[in-house]
Amino acid sequence: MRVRTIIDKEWEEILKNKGVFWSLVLLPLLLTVAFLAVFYFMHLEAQRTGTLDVNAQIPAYLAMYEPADAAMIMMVNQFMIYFLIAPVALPIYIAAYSVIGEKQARSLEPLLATPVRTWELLLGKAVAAVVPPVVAGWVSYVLFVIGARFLVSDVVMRAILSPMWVLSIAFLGPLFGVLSVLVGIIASSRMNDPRAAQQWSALFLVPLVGAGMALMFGVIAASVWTFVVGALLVAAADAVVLHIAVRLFDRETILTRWK
Amino acid sequence: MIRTEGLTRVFDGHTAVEGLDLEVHEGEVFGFLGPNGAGKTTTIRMLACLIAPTRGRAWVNGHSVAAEPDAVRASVGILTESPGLYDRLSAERNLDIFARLYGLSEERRKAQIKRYLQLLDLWDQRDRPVGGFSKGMRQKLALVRALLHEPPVLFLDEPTAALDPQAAKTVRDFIAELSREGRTIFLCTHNLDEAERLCGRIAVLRTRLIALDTPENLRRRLFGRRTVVRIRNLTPEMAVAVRALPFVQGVEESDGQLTVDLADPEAQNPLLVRRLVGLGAEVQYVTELRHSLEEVYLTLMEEEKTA
Repeated sequence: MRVRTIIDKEWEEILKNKGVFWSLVLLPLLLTVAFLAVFYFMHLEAQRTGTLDVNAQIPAYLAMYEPADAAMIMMVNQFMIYFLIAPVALPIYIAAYSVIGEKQARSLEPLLATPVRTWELLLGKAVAAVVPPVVAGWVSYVLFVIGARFLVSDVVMRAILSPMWVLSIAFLGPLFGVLSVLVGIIASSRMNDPRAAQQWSALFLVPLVGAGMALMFGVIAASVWTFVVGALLVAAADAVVLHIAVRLFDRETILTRWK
Repeated sequence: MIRTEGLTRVFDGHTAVEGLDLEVHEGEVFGFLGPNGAGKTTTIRMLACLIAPTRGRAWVNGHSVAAEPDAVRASVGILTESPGLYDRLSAERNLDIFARLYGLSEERRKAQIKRYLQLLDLWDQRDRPVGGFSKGMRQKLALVRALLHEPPVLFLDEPTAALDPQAAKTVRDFIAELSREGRTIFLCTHNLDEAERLCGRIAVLRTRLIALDTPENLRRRLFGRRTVVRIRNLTPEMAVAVRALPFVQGVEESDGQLTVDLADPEAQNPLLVRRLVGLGAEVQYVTELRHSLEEVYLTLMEEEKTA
């Protein structure tokens, strides 16, 4: 009940904060439009010349495809990484707004004076921060699939709808999102300067981007099961980090030292 | 209702509150005075389970702040120094969120919100975002927020600070009304006039407790009791005669009036007046010299500094 109250409050504030709301909606939508535009121009070029002059080095694992399809699949992999990163990157800023904004408005003290438990507060804030970017990411992905259907071949479409990417976008991204928010909250509760905490939590994106690049260039091979196991591991990590965050979330530090 | 034993809080080697022993009774309005940085807010935070004491123990409404923080939080209402409202949300939504956090049913939430908003003349403003509210309206709303779950104990930290006189009076009157309902009110304030009007007893804090008593007793302890007699035809002989009375502890003469130190004015004033009239004095008025709470407070602070 109290978790739900926190979530409702956070979402109402997000909806009424035009800056946060539009950044949440526009970024994934603009990326989707940009990706479809790339496909559109590649499609036009292929139609005009009968083939696609690909300057980029095609990785060996794509050598079996036509050059145009191989280039598009390479692009698909790159786009999918963005869809995967969006629900991890955006919640960090929403969480920062929800915790730091609360402190700046001095509304945290009355909130902490209620019987709300630490885990309820943290879970509410984490879910409230993660769900909107995840939903925005899912909607963008669906729009991307619909748009791509008219612009790419069946081979490329199969790459877009590969179980590996669908599972990643459906589960892995959101689970990483929860993890990044919780890490951000831990950083916030252990540091005097909230902005520094925000920067530290943004560093969390680096390994994720690295893993995505490695997949894209075929440096590491991954199957559907790799992603299923990965999602389960990240879910377990979420539970452990929530537990740690509850232990470390120091009401006193936040009330008495945050400036 | 509130009891502390040796309550102490140290921040990084700096002692904010030291060895505080207090007992606040049920239904009492208890004033908590002290200069900035004296530890008033830290004490409230410890009693409301927002921060933990470094040493000592405290109980609020029968619950230990160390062992039963959830029970303490559920039974207290706190008005923090700053209202801390969600500016983008309406007054009603601000209250509803907190009512839900306190576990009130939907029916009770609606009833409580309506009752208190009407009591404080905010009902017509319930749908407006509170970002556009005046300071007085915000403070009243924060006070309502602290009351929604009907806590028996209220901690009010500077409830009328930065309010215009009219808004301050509304808030003060409301606090008096809450006190009549039997709530225990722990009032932190710099406004000595407010403390005088509202509080049965006051504590003066400067890291440690300097004084604790009723304003009247503190006055008597520091300044004794003095009677001022204004006389149209005051002569030096009258002052000498008054000084010679056995119960008179001291006399000052100035501008046609005698200021007389007495241990028991209620019993001794008639004797004093009789003596003066016997000497031919034309007594214009007799009154008790009352030192303001401000004088009491400043004297206590000065004594503490000297000590």
